[in-house]
Amino acid sequence: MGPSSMPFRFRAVTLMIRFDGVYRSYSEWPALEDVSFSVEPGEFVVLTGPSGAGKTTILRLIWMGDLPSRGRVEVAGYSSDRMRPADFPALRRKIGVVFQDFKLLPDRTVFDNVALPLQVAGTSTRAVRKRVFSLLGEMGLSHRRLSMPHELSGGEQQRVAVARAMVAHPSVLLADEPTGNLDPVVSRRVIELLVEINRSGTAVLMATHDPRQIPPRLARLIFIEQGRIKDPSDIQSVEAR
Amino acid sequence: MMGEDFHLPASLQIGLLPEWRNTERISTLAASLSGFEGVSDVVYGEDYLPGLTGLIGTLHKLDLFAGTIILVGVSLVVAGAVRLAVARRSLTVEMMTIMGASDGFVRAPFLFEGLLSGLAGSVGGLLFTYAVSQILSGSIDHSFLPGRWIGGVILLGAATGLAGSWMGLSSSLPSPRK
Ligand SMILES: Nc1ncnc2c1ncn2[C@@H]1O[C@H](COP(=O)(O)OP(=O)(O)OP(=O)(O)O)[C@@H](O)[C@H]1O
Ligand SMILES: [Mg+2]
Repeated sequence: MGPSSMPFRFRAVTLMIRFDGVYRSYSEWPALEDVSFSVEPGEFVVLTGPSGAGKTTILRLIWMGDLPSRGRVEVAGYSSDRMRPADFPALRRKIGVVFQDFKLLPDRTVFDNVALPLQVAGTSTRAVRKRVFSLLGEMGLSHRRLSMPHELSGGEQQRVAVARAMVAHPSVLLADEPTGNLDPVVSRRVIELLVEINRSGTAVLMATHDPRQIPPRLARLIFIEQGRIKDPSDIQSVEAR
Repeated sequence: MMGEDFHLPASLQIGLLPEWRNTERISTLAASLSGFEGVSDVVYGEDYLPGLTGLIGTLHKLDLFAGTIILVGVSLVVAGAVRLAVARRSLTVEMMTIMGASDGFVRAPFLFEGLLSGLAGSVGGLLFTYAVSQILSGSIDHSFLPGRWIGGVILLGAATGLAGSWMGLSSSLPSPRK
């Protein structure tokens, strides 16, 4: 995107996420090639493309579980080329992540799973209880707070995972195939939940190989294939297929 | 009657201050004692004393060597155990990392585990050594480690366990790569 003219510079400061000519390779083949895009605060963006396109890689670069081989990733004011060790936890506390396979800790109750991001950030026990109880209430999970993850249905597990991602009031929510393991009805419920979260001001970036789950008027679509971002005219042709 | 001509062969046993108890000072002392009037012979085990001190010196070196080996061994074992523990709890570690746990927050429980293993190792080692020395004490006159040493060994064990778990963590905690 932007060359270094003034308006663009000004805009760059207010962006939630910005990829600038990002390359990432793990072996010979690049997983990402010259990827540039940006997400504004409060936006809902759907990242879509076939399996192996590089969606998960992009999300991992956003929470900086990985750094670009070339180019730059900027998230919430942090830049991948200027990260000090203490910046990683600070950045990650502004980000919530939801995974396709939930990744709930099997040996902890629903309450303890949801409480973890707050405990990790050093929140007081009383504040943790208050926040977790109220969030579980909002999400209709109060009666499940003492259950273990394996006692829950897939839909309930994913709602717990969303609650865990949201509990610390992140500025951006990353959702990697959040409906991948769910039936269509439950999937729609999870999508509605993400839309609600977005309405309350959190930027949402969702990766999925099936963009039809999201009504187009609600979200901006970014299409990626073989590690490269395709321009919107290509997207139309893909959707027509 | 035996009469005044009869003499028992008179001998004196001499006790030495601790700082005099080494081969050189003993032989100097023996030499000057021999010069005294009326002293016919000074016997102090001159034949076996150098060999004995040499043996004790070697044993001390062996002790140091064994001690070093044990310390290195303990830290390697603890490092391996912590690496296993991290692997076993990899999902927890991964999720905490993604949630923005500080390095210390993630490491603390494993370091604690290493500390405890080091403590248990050194206390166990001391108990074992004590048992062996009790068995041997019938045949050799010696005393067990002084109290300060026992404290030192326990502290060293704990420190070694801590160092071992730090090593294990450094090689198995995920960190972003370029
Ligand atoms: N840690 C890694 N080591 C090696 N190769 C990797 C790694 N992560 C991703 N890749 C490779 O990068 C490419 C993109 O993978 P990525 O997981 O981002 O795809 P994706 O779009 O999320 O696919 P899916 O829809 O199947 O989840 C793949 O070819 C994958 O094999
Ligand atoms: Mg993926």
